[in-house]
Amino acid sequence: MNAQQYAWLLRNSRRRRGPAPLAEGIARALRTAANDARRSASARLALERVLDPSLFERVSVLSFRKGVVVIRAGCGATSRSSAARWFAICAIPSRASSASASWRRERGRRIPPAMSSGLTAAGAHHDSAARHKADHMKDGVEMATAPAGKGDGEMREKLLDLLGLPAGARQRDALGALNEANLADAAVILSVEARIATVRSAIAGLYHDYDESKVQLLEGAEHVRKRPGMYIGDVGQRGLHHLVNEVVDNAIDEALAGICKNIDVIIREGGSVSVKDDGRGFPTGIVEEHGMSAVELCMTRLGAGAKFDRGSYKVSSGLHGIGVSAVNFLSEWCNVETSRGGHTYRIGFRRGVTSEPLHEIGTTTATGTTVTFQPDSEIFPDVNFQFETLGKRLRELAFLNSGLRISIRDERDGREETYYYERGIVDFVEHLNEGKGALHPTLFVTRRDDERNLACELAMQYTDRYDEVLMSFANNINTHDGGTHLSAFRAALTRAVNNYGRKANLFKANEPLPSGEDIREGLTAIISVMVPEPQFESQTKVKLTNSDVGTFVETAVGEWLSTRFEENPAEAKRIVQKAVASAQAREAARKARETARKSAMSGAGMSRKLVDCSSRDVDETELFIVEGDSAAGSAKGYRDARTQAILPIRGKILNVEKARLHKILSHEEILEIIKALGTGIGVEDFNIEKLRYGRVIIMTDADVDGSHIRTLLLTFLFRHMRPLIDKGVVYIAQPPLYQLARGKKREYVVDDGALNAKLKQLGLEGARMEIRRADASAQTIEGERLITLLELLEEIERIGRTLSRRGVVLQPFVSEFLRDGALPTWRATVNGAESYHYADEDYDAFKAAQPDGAEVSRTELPDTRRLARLLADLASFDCSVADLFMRRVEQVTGELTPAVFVIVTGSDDERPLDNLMETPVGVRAIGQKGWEVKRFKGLGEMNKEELWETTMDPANRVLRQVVVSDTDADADQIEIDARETDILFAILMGEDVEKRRNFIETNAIHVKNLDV
Amino acid sequence: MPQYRCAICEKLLEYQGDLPEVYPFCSARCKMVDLGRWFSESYSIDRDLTPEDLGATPEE
Repeated sequence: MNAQQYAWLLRNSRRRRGPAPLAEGIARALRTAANDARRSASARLALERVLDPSLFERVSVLSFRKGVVVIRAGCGATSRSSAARWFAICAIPSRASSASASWRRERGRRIPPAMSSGLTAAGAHHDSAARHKADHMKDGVEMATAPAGKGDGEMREKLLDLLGLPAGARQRDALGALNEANLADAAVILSVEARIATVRSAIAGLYHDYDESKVQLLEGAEHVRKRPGMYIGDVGQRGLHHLVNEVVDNAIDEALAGICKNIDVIIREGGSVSVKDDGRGFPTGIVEEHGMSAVELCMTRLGAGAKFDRGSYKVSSGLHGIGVSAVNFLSEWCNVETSRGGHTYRIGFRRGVTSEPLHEIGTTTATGTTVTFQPDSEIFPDVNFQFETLGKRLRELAFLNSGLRISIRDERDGREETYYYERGIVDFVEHLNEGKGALHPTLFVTRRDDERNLACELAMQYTDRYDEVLMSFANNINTHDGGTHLSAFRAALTRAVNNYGRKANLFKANEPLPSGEDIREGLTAIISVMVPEPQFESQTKVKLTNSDVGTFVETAVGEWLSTRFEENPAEAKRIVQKAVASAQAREAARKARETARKSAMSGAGMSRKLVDCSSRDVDETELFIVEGDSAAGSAKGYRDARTQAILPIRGKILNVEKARLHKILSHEEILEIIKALGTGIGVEDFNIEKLRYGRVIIMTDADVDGSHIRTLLLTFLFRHMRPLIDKGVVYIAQPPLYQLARGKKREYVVDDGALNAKLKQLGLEGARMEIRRADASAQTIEGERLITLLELLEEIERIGRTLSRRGVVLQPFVSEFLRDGALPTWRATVNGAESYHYADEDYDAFKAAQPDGAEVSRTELPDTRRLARLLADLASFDCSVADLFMRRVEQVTGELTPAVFVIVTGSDDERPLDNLMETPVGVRAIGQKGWEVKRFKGLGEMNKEELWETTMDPANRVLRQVVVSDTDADADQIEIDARETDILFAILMGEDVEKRRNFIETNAIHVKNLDV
Repeated sequence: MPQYRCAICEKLLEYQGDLPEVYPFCSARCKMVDLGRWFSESYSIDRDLTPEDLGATPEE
């Protein structure tokens, strides 16, 4: 029982009777409610407000079996709540021969035990003790209650009897339900029994063998007008539009019966609405029993109609509301035109009372019904119909009833729409999936069970999205809360996907199995069932409860899905793989959250390997992530312990196969890094504010393995801690690759380029070049001019290396193709024969001249224009291209011809060169004289002082800051970067070259030089 | 408009302005899948074995 109910009971019980047990019962119930803090607050609030909800607005029909109606009333509490109190009204017609057996059957369908605490009903004629002999029992519905104050013993007996329980073994169950508090609740209901009389007509109206007088019918209309919420939910926008739904539902029923093809809804200028169908037309014959026409009977009697008996309609949607009569009762005026049997008739009503008797207004060959009504502004505060609201529902109905054309026209503004869907819910699914990438064509199945008169339709499609859109309908009613049909579909899908995945070996042993939720990721599905006797859990939030529907759907859909999967393995595989991916995501998220929690709890002190620094000022602290234990040992031994923290890591060798070596970052290693950084990990849990250091410096060996470890680390940081990179806190340490030693003097250089530069610098100290040509006087090049010449030659050297990668050798290329100071820019290959072209036009002309079918390919020769310019520049040094490649030859004496180019060092040592191109090598060789060059194989080869001095000491070291390149501004750069850093990143799960290349491209990281 | 492919599901994506937060993935979901792969040690860098590797004992 909810708070409002308590409030209502409290107020009414005081006003009406206020007996002591009643107050007690309420007090106890409130205490129960108070146990739940959430409830107690709302309970108190409600008591203060003293609202006036009608108990019977919460009535729902639980079942409608021949002769027995079970109605549940009150109490929005969930069945799980201990505070739940259900009130049941059991109305049993005296004619029903096996009332108690029916009741027992009802009970067997999982009515919560607490329900038995509610109002009980028994035949008054059999219970002489009943005080409520009320006049309202005349109609054959016997409604009696166990009187309060008669003693608990008697009450128990009575309830047990009604529950169909023997006084034996199962008594305990009943007693559990019939505790004192509940009995008091029963008493509460007894005290408001007068209310029951007011819904008597509603209950009575549900009987198809109903026998009533007109006076009582009027009472029905009055009740609907007094308590409209009970019939249409509310009197707001929702209730107002529900009126149209009620009328349309009648037309839909004609469509379900296979007769009606068109429904037109028209919003009239005056605000009334017409619903026109081409069904069979309302019957106009006189129903003898009642002495009135069938149409009048239907319009003026709650629940009158042919739908409670399966004769005329096998399936109908009209059971959830009270029907078109309620619409009539709530309308200022209403008229019905019905065409049938060659004639058109008309009947009119005002506020539910016949104002224009049924009469013929013409002849026609068509059949159908038009209902026009004007909602009563006495009932509805706002009687304006919304085109969109109606349109939405009508479109839904059109989707659900393929081939049915439904139009809506708004005469107020001329808007008009027509809904017609040949493929029904398949169109519906595709409508919902518009703009999403579908993974396969929509799947559709329809199944019937003629024996039980059940039918189901299912349309489903997976998209590349990750949300789940499931809609379910029972007899065209949108079951927002799902129910047995939807659960059955879910169960069948989960089972089918898992079975297929297992059979087709699509699950890996160490991966989590997809759950139902995983399997439904990206799914859009609509299930629609037709049920002769739908049962709903409550009126407003619609949920189907028929268990036979569940069994039917699960079997039908399950069988269909497994067949479908067997026959379409590719499609099934995609679905399974999607589910597996989803399961992985869930598992990954779980792990990440766990890790984040762990690292947050433990903090840095808990990192086993971290050697932390003492300062906690992130402006000055640095974390060195150091590859290898020995290097880490050196780093620990000689660091600034206040600001520099050391975290050793190792690349773990995973396995060796196919002559390849696979290196990974182990799970533990990653955790150590996350813990040390303190930021947490994961989409939600990563927080850069918690970063414990101002710089994160990756220090790895200057070899291939070191660069691999660095790439792994950077990739991980880039993918999962990118804010670190964006903020510019990630650096690469630059340990030297070479040491130059001369006596006690030490120099360090980071790579080959730097070594060459260093040697060049040493070699040039005091050196000059002499050109001693036989036919001219010697010239000297020195100082700046020599440096310029050297740079020019180095540049030619560099371009030569680039060309050689394309299979072009510098010397013959230049000798053969240098024409008028120009070099070719393209090399074309036609059927294996090469040719060179100086300009694009040359190549184009060449290509055009080739016969059809010739395989022409071309290679760009980079920098040849620049090369040509450099060659031309040689002239300024009085040198020629021939000087570059000249050779000294052996003379008869056995000696070489005198060298033309000679480098003379500061100490006047001479170094003759074969040709001009040898100059850079010569200079470097001079530079190296007296120095011992040592190459470090790894960080570990340095002693701790060396490591400190060269790599860690802020005064000397060189750091490179890691930045994300503007990937798309310069696509080439990524490739170059990837090659430069020697990234060979393999995704072990398959030797997918494309994937690997993609990985590299999508992880465009490059490093730029930065001295810090 | 710049494009990229999700490193997990390979869906082709476009973006404008700055790199999307989930780059190089399409969604938080795929990002978590990737994180799961790191945790399960599915990513490796590989290279050809050298004679040194065969002579030397592995680190692990």
